Amino acid sequence: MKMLTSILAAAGALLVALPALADPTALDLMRKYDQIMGPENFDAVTRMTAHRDDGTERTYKMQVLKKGDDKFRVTFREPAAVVGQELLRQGDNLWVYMPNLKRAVRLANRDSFQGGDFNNADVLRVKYEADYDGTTTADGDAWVLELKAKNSNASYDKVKIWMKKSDMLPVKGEYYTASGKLLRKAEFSDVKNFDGIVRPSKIVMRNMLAVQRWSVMVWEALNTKVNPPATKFVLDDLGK
Amino acid sequence: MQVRILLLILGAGLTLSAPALAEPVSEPAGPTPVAVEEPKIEVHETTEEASLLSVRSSGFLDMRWTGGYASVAHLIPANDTPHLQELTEGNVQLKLGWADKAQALVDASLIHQRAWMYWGQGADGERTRLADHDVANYRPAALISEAYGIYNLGERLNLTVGKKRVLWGPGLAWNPTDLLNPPKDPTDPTLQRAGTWLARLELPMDNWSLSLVGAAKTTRQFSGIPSGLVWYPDNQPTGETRDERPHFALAARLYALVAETDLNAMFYMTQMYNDAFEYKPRLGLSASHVFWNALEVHAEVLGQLGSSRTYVDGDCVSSLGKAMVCFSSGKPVAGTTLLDDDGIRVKALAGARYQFGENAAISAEYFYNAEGYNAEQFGNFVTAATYRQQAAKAGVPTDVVSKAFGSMMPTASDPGSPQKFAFEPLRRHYLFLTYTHPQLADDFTINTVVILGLADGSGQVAPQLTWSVRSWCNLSAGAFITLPGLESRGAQVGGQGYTEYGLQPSLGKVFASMRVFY
Repeated sequence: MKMLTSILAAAGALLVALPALADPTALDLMRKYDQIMGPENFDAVTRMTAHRDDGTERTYKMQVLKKGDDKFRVTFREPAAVVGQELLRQGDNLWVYMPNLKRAVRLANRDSFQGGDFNNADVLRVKYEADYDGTTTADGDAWVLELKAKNSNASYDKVKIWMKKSDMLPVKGEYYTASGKLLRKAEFSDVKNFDGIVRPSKIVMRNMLAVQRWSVMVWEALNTKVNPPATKFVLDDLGK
Repeated sequence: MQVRILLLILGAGLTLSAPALAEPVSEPAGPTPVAVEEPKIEVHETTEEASLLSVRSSGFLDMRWTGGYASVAHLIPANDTPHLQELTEGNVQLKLGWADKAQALVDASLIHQRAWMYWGQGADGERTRLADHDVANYRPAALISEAYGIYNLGERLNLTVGKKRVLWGPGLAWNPTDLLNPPKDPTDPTLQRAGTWLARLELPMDNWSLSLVGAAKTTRQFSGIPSGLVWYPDNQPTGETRDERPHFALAARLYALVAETDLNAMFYMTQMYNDAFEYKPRLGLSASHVFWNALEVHAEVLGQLGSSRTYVDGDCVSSLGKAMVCFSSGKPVAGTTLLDDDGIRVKALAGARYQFGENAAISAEYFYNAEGYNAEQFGNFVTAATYRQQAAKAGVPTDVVSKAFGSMMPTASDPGSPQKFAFEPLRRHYLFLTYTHPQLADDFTINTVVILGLADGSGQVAPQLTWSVRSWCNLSAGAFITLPGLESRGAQVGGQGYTEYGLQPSLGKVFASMRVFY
């Protein structure tokens, strides 16, 4: 009887543990990616450096505020020429506030972010689960998450993300057109613990159409213990 | 031994599964999460208010040199149009924040400018160099573009008091629904910072907002510093035209985000604010939507009864003799005769902006101005202008000429703002074309604006090239070229054709500027 109880207990535990040992689904990987790269709410400070064809570079420092799945607000802090410029995303809507105009105008998601090699959606639309359907394959120590756009608001037609099997952190990404042309490559590195969120703090985005260009986004601070008021994400609040 | 190995595996599995099972309950339901070690994400309400006063400052120093050529043969006199101009603007923008309770912002400039080289018509009608002289638009000035405070009365209610630019319409080059602010320079967005003195109560919700605004007209200002609001001050400087009536605007605006479209409904009541209307209600509507992730389409419409435009009495200018009769009988040749007219007049702008892959964008906007002159009215206007010019040449005193002809040109420019170009539409149909290509060869931006009067093909072209030498320094060069248009499509007066932009003295300007940010 004692033996039978032990076997039943072990079998029960095995049933619980089996899904954990199974290969992750694409949805699992997408959720994991969304969870660490775009937590529910956060207030972050990032620095983007755009390396240009002529070897020079331009650096932008910005504050990124996120609430829920679809509310982003980016405020530029440096350089002085763009101080006060803001980007707001609410759902599928994107606006830019220009201090010189004292007003906001609508933007398209596919625009490049401050002329760098990220586009607006790379920074302001980190929710793969909402925009893509996916499949997974294994590639050595990594899972390869292959994503296909399922709506017109997705910034790329096809995306491949490599995520380490050991910790499920992204290590690289490739971004394609519908015809299969490689547009950009990303490298994720410098894993840091931001007060409980363990994630890459550095993303290098290479422009494959102009290979001399690349941009680096470094997350200097990330605070997920915030719940910014909804009024921070309305059009009329821009510029305040 | 086998049991021990099995238990180790099970133990490891349970250990790995635990964090996945401990995910926030708000996570949407789906397949069992993959069993990996995940950081615990804690979500807390913000309970502590930031008590620190935050201060941010920025600004720029801008130096601009302009050279141009003005014709003395055009209907609008060139006497006060300089051929050389220098402008230096020091700007500071200070933003103060007190936790989430209140904010204050100041955007102010000190402007030093000088102008030289004036030409006009001599007694013989020939081009004659005039002595450099004082022109109000080229005096040094302090410019308070914005200076306001915002107090949050609640999470969804805030009050703004001070000088602020409030703009609701989506038009890029022109906003027919903007009745509150000084007019914008459609050729240069960087000079559109000035607002108006107002109090605004705003109710911002997630997908809609309600704004109530009371705006005061600056009745008097010295070097950009206001000394009178709503009413004229009691003391009257020499030469000031004043009255005893209030000058203000009331506005209500409802914004809604519907089907990914920005919608605005606006109601205005203006009392001798930026025009001669008294207690005039007006309605405005606007919409903006992005199609196919690249094409932004927008429209804005303003509807009103009557017109505040100055119209020339056709009978008075049918001949020089009749003009003399009007003049001698004291009947104004021109006046705001349609102020109380019941006819509906609409100002509407519809346009689209297409964004290319490299952040380049081209926009086209059509503007319909029902207050503008039709062909006959423009002909009367030009005829009156020629008579006015002849009266001035004949030595008729300026005040007499002004009394007879009134203020014929729209006077909408902001005296406190150093605009490079003032768009004051006389006719009914216009086309604005704008092309912008930033990050061209990384550090260059090309911007070209075309304003085209569709009635006669006259207009203005303003190309500009900006070189971002450093992230804190821009060098720009540009031009304003007057398109003379087709005289055959203009007003035919005295055997000569006159187009709208052909009236102005300036044939073209070039400028160079340096802006240093800090």
